[in-house]
Amino acid sequence: MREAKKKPAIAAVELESKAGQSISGPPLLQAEQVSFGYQHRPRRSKAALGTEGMEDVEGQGVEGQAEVGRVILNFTLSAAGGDFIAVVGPSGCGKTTLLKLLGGFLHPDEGRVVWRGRSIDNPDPSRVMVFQEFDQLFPWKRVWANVEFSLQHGINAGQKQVRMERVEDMLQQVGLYEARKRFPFQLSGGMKQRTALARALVCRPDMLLMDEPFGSLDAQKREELQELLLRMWRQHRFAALFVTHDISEALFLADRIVVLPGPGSAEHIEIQVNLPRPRDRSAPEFRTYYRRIYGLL
Amino acid sequence: MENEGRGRRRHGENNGRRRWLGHLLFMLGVLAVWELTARLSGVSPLLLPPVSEVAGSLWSDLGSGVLSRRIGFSLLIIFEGLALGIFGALLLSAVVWTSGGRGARIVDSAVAFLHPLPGIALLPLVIIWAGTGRTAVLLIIVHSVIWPLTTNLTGGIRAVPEHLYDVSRNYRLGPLQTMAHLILPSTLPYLIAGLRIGWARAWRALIAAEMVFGAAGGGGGLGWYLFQQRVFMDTSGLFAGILLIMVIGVLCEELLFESLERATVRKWGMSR
Repeated sequence: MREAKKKPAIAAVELESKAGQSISGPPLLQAEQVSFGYQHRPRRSKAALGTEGMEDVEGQGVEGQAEVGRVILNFTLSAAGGDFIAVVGPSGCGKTTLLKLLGGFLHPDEGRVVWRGRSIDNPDPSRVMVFQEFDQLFPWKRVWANVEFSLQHGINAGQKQVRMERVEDMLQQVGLYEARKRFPFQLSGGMKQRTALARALVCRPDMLLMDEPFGSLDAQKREELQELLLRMWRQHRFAALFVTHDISEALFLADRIVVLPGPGSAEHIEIQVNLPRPRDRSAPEFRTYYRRIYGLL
Repeated sequence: MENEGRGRRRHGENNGRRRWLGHLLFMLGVLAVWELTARLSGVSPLLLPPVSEVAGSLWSDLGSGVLSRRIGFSLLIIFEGLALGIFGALLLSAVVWTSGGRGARIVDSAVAFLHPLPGIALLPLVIIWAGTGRTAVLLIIVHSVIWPLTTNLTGGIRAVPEHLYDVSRNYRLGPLQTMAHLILPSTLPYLIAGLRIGWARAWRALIAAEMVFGAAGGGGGLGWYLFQQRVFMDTSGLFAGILLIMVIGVLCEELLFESLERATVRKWGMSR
């Protein structure tokens, strides 16, 4: 708060047309000129089509790409370990697509996504994705088993006993220990998201990719979970990439905010958030940032 | 909320008990009307024997071991056929899942053509190909089970939430692990629904096939029992056979599929 008062708030908003200038450490994840569009892709199956057909379809595919346009256009970002970056933008601007590209779930049409100096081609447990939807939990697994899942498959976490210790420790941290034996359908929305968070964090990822994880919760629960996320972030020092359409959520959580404008139109803008933590939503500086970002959308 | 879960389960048990009671009352009602009609209307017992007589022949045939042998034969062969049908449907669904577009279209077409074909229509052909033995009956049963089951399973595979695929990819599950840890459990409600349909069809096909094949290949099941009673003009035996076929059908439905559902998909909140 004291720091922020020294400078006028507007001056603290640094607009950067190119990302990657304010890295706090060696880059963990880099997106280099990433472009992506959901056009009707040419069919790759040679057996299904004759060779002549192939050429035809591929020719159309290239034209189609130009027509449909891009969901993501020349996106560039650099994230270091421990960074908390939020991505805001109106619905339909490709936030989820972007996150999937950065996680390796989708492959960019152009450009590349680099993780620790190497191109990403698949998802990996070192970058765990958390979704908004409640159906990301396995309905047939109790809470503890849902959390253990990532230790069983994602990383080699050793014997059952070792795994269970880690699972129970994590459940204590997210406040789900009492509910560990319930099935997902017996949980409230907030508890489901806590479970998803615990499952992601129990295998100690370097980066958490979150796709509006608290978007389906009521305001009170959302704030509770934001606090929890920050607590976990301080404790485990993972890098966080948090997609949301809620500006005040982004301002409450992140050090940097990437603003995505409408679909493929203008370039994205990165804003450094120089507000002391814990953030105060009612502080005038907070409001100033809010209006600034609101104006960009 | 611990209580909520329990409450729901207790509710389920109550429902189950009420269903049983309903079934029992319904049967008693039908039997009472039947008995009265048979006694009071003066219809020849050759056409409509009173319940007491049917019960008598049921009792004596069960006692002599004839009926229990027939029931055993029918049940053994139907469970064998169900097992083969499930295996085949799982295999076909795995083809659909792994091959994506083209394999799925082939299987879809196969199901579209074969699903509406009654097992009994295949009978003459099966007799020519496989004779009138056990193999032929098995073939008919597998045919009755495999198509509805495949339809349901492929539908179930398409309904697996996309996020669960993403989660599985995120934790690097291989194709076999994804099958075992994601596809199989999440299609279980569809599998059970398909089994219910498949079971009812197989049961009908089995009885029909046995009535045509008779006892060839040794043994002979409930259908054969019915056939014999008709030949001997033993109407009360005929009714006893029909009753048994219905009761076994209901028992299988209630004991097997209901309890399977209660122990899995209903416990997980995937169906009610």
